[in-house]
Amino acid sequence: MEHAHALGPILTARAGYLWLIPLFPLVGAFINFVFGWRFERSGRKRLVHVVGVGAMALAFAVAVCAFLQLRALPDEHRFLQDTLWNMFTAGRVTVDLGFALDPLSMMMVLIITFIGMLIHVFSIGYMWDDEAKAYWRFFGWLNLFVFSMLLLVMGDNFVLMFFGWEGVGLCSYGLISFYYTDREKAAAGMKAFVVNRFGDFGFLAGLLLLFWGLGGAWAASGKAHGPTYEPEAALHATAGASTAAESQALAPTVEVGEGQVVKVGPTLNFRELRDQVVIEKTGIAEHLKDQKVWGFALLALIGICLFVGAMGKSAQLPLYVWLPDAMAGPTPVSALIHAATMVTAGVYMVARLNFIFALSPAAMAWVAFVGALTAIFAASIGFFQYDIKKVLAYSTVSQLGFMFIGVGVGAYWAGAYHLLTHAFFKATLFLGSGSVILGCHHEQDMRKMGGLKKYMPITRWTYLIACWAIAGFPWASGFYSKDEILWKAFTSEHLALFGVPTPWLGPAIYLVGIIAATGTSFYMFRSYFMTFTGEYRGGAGHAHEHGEDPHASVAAAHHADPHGHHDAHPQPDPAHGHVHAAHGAFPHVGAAAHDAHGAHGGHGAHGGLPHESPWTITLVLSVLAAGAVLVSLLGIPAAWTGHEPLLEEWLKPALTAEVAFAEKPHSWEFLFQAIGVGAGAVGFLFAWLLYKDGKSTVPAALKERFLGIWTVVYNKYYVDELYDLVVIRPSLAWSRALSWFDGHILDWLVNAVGAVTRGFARIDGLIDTYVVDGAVNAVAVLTAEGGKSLRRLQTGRVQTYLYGALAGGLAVILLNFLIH
Amino acid sequence: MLHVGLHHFLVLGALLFSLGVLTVATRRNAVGVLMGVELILNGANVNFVAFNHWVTGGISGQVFALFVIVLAAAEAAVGLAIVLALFQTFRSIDVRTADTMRE
Repeated sequence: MEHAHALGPILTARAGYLWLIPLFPLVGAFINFVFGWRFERSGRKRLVHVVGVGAMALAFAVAVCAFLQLRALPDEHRFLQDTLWNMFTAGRVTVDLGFALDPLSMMMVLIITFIGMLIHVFSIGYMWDDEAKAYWRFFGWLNLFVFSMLLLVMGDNFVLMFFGWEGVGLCSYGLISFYYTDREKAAAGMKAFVVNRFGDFGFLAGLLLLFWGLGGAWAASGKAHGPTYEPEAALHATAGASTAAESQALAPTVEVGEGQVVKVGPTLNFRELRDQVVIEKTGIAEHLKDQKVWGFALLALIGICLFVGAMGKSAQLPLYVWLPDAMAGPTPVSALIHAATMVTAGVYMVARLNFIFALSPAAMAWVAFVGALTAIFAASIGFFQYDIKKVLAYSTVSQLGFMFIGVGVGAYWAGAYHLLTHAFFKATLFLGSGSVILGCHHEQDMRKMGGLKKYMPITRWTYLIACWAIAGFPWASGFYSKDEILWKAFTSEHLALFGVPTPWLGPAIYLVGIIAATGTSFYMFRSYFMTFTGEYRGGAGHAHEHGEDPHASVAAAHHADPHGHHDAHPQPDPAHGHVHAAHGAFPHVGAAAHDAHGAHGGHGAHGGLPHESPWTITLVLSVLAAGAVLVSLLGIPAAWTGHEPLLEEWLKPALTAEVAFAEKPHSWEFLFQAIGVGAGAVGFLFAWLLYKDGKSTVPAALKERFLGIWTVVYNKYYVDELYDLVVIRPSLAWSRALSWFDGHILDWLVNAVGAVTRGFARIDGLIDTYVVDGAVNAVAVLTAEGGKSLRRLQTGRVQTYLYGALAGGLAVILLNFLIH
Repeated sequence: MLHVGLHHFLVLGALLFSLGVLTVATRRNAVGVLMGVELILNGANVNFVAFNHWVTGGISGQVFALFVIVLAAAEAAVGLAIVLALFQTFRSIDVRTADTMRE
């Protein structure tokens, strides 16, 4: 790999306050989990969100301080370190409870705390009247989630990252299953958790492979000083190092410059890993490249295993299936966890380990390839969904695919940038949908919406801006990040599949990406037009369309189908009416805008007109929409200004891996940007023609014409059914087989052993009864009989005794003679 | 001329002892048994006197014999008292009737 300049080890600056950032949400979660229900029961419900939002605000404030400190440092040395204590030391590996911020994790921390804070504020309005009556539980989980996520991005080693990785999975589970009394929603949480386990397995395998690969024979190259690395010895060196300092002394080092020494060998620490891999002088990179496991290049295997982890967390093919179901959670959760933060953890991880991925073109190609497939696959599903949150869910999957295209082709900063822009516009969209759902009285089916722009102007405008951004039109952020990704994909030429260089893969990915972008624009504007234009269709219901819905029959046949969501909604169940009746009874935050709820307190079905949401919600929407536009300033392409984008410059110290891209003239870049805008415009145009005001009959006609294709896509290509067939049924069959094995073979064996034992016991019992007892009794009987017969000697007659005495005397005399 | 020596006396003593033992062992009459005891004691006395005369000299054997005669008198007194008690209990002086210690 050619470096513009040789990279040195990272210099760290101490920042002893970093631990405060995750601490605040943790404390908030603790307070809400332990005391929250008391607050809520004693009528101080307000305290719950004061704690929740307060924790987030404090965390954000500290994060901003850290950002200012980081920015004041020179480019090369932007790395804040805060080590609290040593968690454990084993041989030469030390794991500290330490936090680190480099530009990349700083960006993540700012996204998490800022958008997290806004979403907490949004939740006040959204969850106040919630039917679950567990305001405290919601905020507790939400704070705990933020804590885990901060741990994930701030931890300076893999152990903390993995802890956060699992923590966000747990919180995601807790929040998807927030309405746990609903079986379907509880199942959705479980599905998310289980699918993520598959990914986590890959992640862990990748970590262990990496750890293993760093050990080995490189010491023989003569570059390392200090003790050589002997795996056997290191494994058994428990007595060797009991403290971090001793462990440090044991570690082999390589001198890389003037007094600069780099620790080499297996490590869990990101900075140590980065230093030894990035600095060529250590020879670690070469060593990793040379290694093979069962004939596979080790680096490719590591990359792919880690990417499997990313697939699970970031919902890529084929592990994306949990994300659409995760929409069962409350909408703020979907916005925070399933759009802005947690699902980007995979992208973050790949960007974090860019120096590892960059060493393996095969791993990168797979990342980009899967990303592109996911992007177009999920976008196509988004075309025909009616549930507004499902549309956004598939959109999220698709956008995550774009991010993976970015980090896959080596445009790490572009991937990270798309992560940032996506966090803003997708949070806006999700929260906008939340506002719509609240306004339409918990209706999620877009066919029952329409014309909402009249009732909810702020929501409408923010939603439109976010649509503008995601569709990729200029001056909103999505355009800059998406076009940068696609441009880099087109110009990438180092990708390789199965060890064969595939320069055509980049342009192919570009082609897929641009089609997916067109689709994105289409389905987003479709959702916009269906929701906000035309006449309000709520109340009347669309039973006829429901009846011909081929999904309905599928849902009926497939009783466990978790997406029969909107089918369950139109029924005016009594619980629902009760909830709305309760609306009037509770004091609402910013109640002025929400008074409409009180006015139709008694309605059972979905009557009543939609209304704008309270100010906490509209304020957050406005801020996020403004953000969705403003973050575009960070990524104005170099072709426009001649200066590299601000974010690229900012992230440069963290994203050191340099990947070769084809040099193309600026005019090409402009052309591709035009194509990107054109793609967005085409999507918009189709959506406008087909769904504007909901009057066109063309969509229905097209649906009739292509009913077969429509049915397949509407049912998400039957992927869930495929999973059912390929994974769940074999698992069940396997478990049944094992159960049979257990019930018949193992139980039989156990019973057989039992029977044999019982037989032995019986024989033993017989022996006991007859032999042992018999012997004892025989002795007793003999003694008794002997006594009885000897009793006769006791005649009581003196003369008899005399005979005895005489006989004895005679015997003594005779004996005397015999002895002599 | 028959020479009378120690052996003759020892044979006489043994005869007396044997007859005494035979009497004690076989007589049913308690008085007879006591008489058998007298025979045994006197058999012993013959031995004492004979050994004194032929072996040790002096008079200690004779004196010992006198003590035995006194002892025999005392023993006969106690024995006859027992016989009387026996008779009072069993209305018989047959020693076979006094077998209540049996078993």
